[in-house]
Amino acid sequence: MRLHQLSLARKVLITTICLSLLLVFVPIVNAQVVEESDPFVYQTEQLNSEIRRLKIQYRGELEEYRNLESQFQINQQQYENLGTLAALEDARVATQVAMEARARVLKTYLALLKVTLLRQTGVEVDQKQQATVALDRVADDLDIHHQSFADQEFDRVELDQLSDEFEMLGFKVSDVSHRSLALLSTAKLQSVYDKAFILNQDMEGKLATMGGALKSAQRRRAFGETGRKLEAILPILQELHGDVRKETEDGGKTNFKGIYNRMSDGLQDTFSNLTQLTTFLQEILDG
Amino acid sequence: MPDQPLNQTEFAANEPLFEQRQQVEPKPDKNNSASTIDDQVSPGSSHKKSFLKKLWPEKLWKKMAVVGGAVFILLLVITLVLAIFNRPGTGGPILQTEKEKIDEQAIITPFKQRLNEIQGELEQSDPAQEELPFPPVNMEIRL
Repeated sequence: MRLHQLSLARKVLITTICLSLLLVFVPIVNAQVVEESDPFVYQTEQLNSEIRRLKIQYRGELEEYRNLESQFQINQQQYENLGTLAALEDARVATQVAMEARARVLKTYLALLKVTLLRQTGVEVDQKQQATVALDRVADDLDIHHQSFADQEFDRVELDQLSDEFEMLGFKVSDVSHRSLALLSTAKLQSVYDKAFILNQDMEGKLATMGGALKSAQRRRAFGETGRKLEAILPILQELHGDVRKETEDGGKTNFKGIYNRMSDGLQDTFSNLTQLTTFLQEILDG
Repeated sequence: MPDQPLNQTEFAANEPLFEQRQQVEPKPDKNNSASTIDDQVSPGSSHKKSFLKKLWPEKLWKKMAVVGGAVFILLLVITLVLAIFNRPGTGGPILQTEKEKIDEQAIITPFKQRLNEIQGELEQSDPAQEELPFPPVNMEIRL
């Protein structure tokens, strides 16, 4: 039977069925189209995943190092007490193993610092770049040092030479690490300050004139206080940024560990003021 | 009846107090028909009054009184209205209505969420609680 010979009712029925099938299957096909994700969000998620992995690795390696370092202390004491070749051999093995474990811990720690620094907002671009380059450079030096005695056996004299080499390297590792820690600590507080500043502005724009006359006047006074608190925090933060920048421009000849320790008062002041500011904002929202 | 016997002399002396006084009407002045009691008291005041009556008739006085009263009330109302609307620093009702409170809450909730996030980030930024302290390793392992 040809199509034109079908009754009108059958034609309508066939058309309806075809349209229904079309309406069902087209959305299903379209739903399979993958949405493009924000590259920044994707990168942040990757960094977060890497940080989680490195933290687990670091904790494991640190625990292993603690056990080996304890064993090294025991064997060294035993050699000093007994003075035998057997005790010396045990001490030599324990020393080398402890040195290897220490190198692994420090390499993982440097990698963790680098990824954390890359993820952190509030750091100036040039400062972040210089710090990550410095971390990469010292991590390479540490790797070279580790590779020089990994899977090999050294006698007591060679181990002493390795210890001498590590002395300068250890200082560089500490210096670069504390520089990154100083940047991270300042950047964290800077990030909080920036968000609190914008929130205060938005709240003032919406809430300062809302409500009855009494509440409105009270809120205006409250936002005056929050504005003054923000103005008080800014110079402290700028000084912290200046401390890190100045020492970097001096060629890093000074000890960043000492600088980081000196920055602790400024960091604590900033933290206290930001805590009070958030308390004020909470009171405004609760009031 | 009082016990004391009446004293006819005293009674006669008090007689004028108990008699009705007859009002004495003033004799009309034949020369000035407009003269009144006021004239007898202060001569010339009725002349002034007749002059005022010519200048401002009694009906006009009544009209002026009504108009003046209306103008006074109008000025009073205008003054009150200006005083209410020109009050400094208010420009609106003092207390919030229930609807305004509900609308305000809808605006405040997102701010609270943002503030909670900031407070969480601030907790992690405590400089006394270093997230990644330098590893506690012995930098002088030596045999």
